[in-house]
Amino acid sequence: MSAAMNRALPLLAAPVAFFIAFFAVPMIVVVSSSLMAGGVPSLGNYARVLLDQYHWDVLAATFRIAGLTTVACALLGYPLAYYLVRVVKSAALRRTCVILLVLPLFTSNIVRSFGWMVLLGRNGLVNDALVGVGILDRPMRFLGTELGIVIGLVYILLPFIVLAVGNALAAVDPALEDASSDLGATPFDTFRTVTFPLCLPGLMSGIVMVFTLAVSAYVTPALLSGGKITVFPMLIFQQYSTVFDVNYGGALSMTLLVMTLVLVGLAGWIGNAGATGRKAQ
Amino acid sequence: MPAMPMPATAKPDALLSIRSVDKHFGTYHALRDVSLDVAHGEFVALLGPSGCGKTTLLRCIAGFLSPDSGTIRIGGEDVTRLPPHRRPLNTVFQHYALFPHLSILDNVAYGPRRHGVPRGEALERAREALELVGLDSAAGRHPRELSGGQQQRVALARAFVNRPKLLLLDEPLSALDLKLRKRMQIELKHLQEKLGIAFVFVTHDQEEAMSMANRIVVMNRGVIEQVGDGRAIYTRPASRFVADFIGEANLLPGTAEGDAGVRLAVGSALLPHLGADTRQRYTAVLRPEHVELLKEPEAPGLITDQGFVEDVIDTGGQTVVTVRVGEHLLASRRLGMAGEGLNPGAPVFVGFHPGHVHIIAEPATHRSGP
Amino acid sequence: MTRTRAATRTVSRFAALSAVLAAGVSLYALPAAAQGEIRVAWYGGNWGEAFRTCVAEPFTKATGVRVVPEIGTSTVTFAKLQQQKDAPTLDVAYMDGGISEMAQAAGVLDAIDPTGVPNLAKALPEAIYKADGSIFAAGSGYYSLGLTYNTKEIKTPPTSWNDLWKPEFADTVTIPSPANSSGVPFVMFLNRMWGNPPGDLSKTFEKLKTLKTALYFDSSGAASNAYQSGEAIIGAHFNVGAWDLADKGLPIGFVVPKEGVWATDARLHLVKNAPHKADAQRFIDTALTPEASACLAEKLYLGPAVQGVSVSSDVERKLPWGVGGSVKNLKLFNWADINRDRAAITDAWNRELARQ
Repeated sequence: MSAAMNRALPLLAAPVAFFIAFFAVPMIVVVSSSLMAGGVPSLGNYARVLLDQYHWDVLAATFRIAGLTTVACALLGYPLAYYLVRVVKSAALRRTCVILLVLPLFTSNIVRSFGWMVLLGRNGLVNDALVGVGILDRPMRFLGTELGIVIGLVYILLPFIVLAVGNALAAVDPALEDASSDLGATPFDTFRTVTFPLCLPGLMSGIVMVFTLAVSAYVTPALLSGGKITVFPMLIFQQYSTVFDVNYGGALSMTLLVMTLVLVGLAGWIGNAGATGRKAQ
Repeated sequence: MPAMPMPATAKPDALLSIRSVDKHFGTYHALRDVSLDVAHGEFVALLGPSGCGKTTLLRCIAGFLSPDSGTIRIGGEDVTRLPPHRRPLNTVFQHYALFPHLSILDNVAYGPRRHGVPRGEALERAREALELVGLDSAAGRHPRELSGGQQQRVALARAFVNRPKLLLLDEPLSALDLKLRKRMQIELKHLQEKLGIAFVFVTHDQEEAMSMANRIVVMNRGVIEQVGDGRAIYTRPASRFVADFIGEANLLPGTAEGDAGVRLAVGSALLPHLGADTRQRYTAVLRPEHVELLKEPEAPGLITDQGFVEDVIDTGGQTVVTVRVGEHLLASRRLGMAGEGLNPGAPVFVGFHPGHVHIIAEPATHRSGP
Repeated sequence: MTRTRAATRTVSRFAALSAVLAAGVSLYALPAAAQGEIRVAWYGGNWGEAFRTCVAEPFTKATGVRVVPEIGTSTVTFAKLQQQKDAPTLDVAYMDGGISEMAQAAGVLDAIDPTGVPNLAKALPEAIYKADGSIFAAGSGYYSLGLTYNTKEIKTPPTSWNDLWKPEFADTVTIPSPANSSGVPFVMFLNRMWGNPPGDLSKTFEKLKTLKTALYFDSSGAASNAYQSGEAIIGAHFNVGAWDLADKGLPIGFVVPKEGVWATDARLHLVKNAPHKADAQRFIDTALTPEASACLAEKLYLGPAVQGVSVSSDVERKLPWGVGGSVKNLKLFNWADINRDRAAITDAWNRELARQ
């Protein structure tokens, strides 16, 4: 061990302590409480969660909403990131756009969701506009629908994917795109075979971020569902905040965590398999 | 205004024909009225200091930049407004620009695939191209696993696998170390001859240009200063800039005496110069290796003058002695240890053959030169 | 060897630095505590503001003891009390009915002694909560969940909870979800109102399923927002929130229907092993004065839980029991019953109502 390393160890202690205090300990608390029922160790809470079709239905709804949110974020966020990085030439304008994009993140999630409640309401701006333009005959219901929740989540999570993809796009050497076009690729082919694959890791990290945040979101679904759709975090919150069954709540939390990890891992595995399978386009 | 007049219309056999191309970047005038022809199978070097416009010209030819005015024709077809992917040429990029997510074989097969060649055939062609650069064994690897020289060869294979008539190379050897660069220069030259493809090769290294190119295009501040083979450019530079940029040169002022000739500031010799004009300034170019150091004040057939040793630099293989003659400095390069007994301040005689003096008429607007 | 020693020295230097920092922190903290202050947990927003103006400021004026508020919902406060069980820093805690009983059961509350809090004598008998013969909480003011409606859309004020099922109100109704503290009691309230057996809520859920709601609100803010935006034009809301909207000039009315209203209260609690017990008792005593109650009634329309409070007629009609009512008109449930059925009702609600 070098002297420098010896000096570094105490410095390392701080982040390690931070990690233990803020990540490991709460996790251990949740896990251990989930394994207790009626004061004795038990797997009963998990049986109660997993053997009940209701929970699987809620889980499916949660993943469906998170999946739609992720797809919408990717479809909206990718072109937006492309526009900001590649089309906007003025650095000042680009900086302004990024600030505008990130600014909502500095306001409370609750405030933003309330804002959407007003916008998406029966007499809200969105319905007024759709009816006014003649797309709808009468106001459409957004609140209390999965669509409403997805709209609210997309708004909140879009910046994550734009920033992730934007960074990846900015890191793609323009010479590679020149080379592609020099070798006879049309702009679309260049995008498909060079630009897109090269910023795929950025897109994937954005997708994982958005998906996990959407799966674990509470405030937005709670407000925009109007209490008519239940997502898993709402079940968890109920147990911790009003029913005070931390054992059952812990089991619900762990179930959501494991299911999300499995899904994200599966997506990564499929993504990798896809990447290895892609040759000489 | 180009120093060398160009024909107003393209030569019928020219592969690449550039006419009066102008390009601005904002207020910066990157290319000024550039015209150039490149014949089939020719190896042309675009040579000049950084910022001279050589890369801008290359990018205009490739289609990555669009000229403000002027035309670019390839094989008779006007490609000035065509996007890069529709131009019948390929480019080797300065930092190779290999696709990091594709294998070496897929990198090389990329071009044929884009031109609709079936996958199997594209891979076959790629393999052949890699064989030609001696890298068929690396086909399955990824660019980051190769050395700089290997990447360079892959970039080359990728560029010529499409069998273009014209290959553009943007300082392709600049990222290699000196030894490897020398070897690649020879390889590149042989490859060019074997493939019969015309090369337009951008470089700032005059030795590289001299050793490889059939013709050298010297550029400065967006203007073509001179086009010619290495020898012509060295012995008969068209401008002070070319004389100074290519090799080393003693640049001596000269004055016209009627139409009889130009009188040199050193040696007071009158050199015959056709069309000498008293209203014009003249510069005499004298290469250091043509300046001899004499013990005697006179030598047959030489123009001589007296001066004092200013400086002696002995590098083992050769010696450069700088002599002050009046207000002018004259460098003399001799082989071997020629500096013995020549200490700064010592009187010495210099002499040179009048046939080695090349006289340049300075343009009215002093644009080129230091 | 040298290296190890160097490392040890570095570590001990690190430790010494931490010790100095810690000492600095405690030096800073100690005199502040000695100066005479108590820590009181109360709610955020206008509730906290009202407690400050009506109770804390008169208390500080009278005693010179500073009040340091710790803002949080009842649930958060309860969680804090459980964490601090061994060495509490809080002295007094405001918590709602329901959580109050849980805190008592968790053993984090001290008995409120009438000799230390003489104003307990003035409190309404309903507002004194006892367990095992000792007082664990004192009511600080009632609030109710009544019928709230948009006066512009609905010209004839509704008179019954059953009016919510009228076809003309389809898709514009809001009632609390179990995520709200009133959600579970409201279901029990309806169950009793319809005369269904206390242990069997199935008929009540059947009926609730036929209610065409715009939304179920999980927070008072969400309810206010729904009435304000016109998303809901009739439904349940707290008198506190409904009148707050009306006071802002919105066309919102609040009525106590003929079946009555479910109500609960914000309560004062003395924390067990409170660091400043004497001052804490004086704080509770101040909170139980008619002046403090009148002040809270004016600011939050909390129904006074002490006798002899007089308020203006405008405030009086906005109190939880409505015009001419009293605490007798409120349906105050036994929270022990509610807490016992909470998990089952929440679960049934999730399955029956909270899915499309």
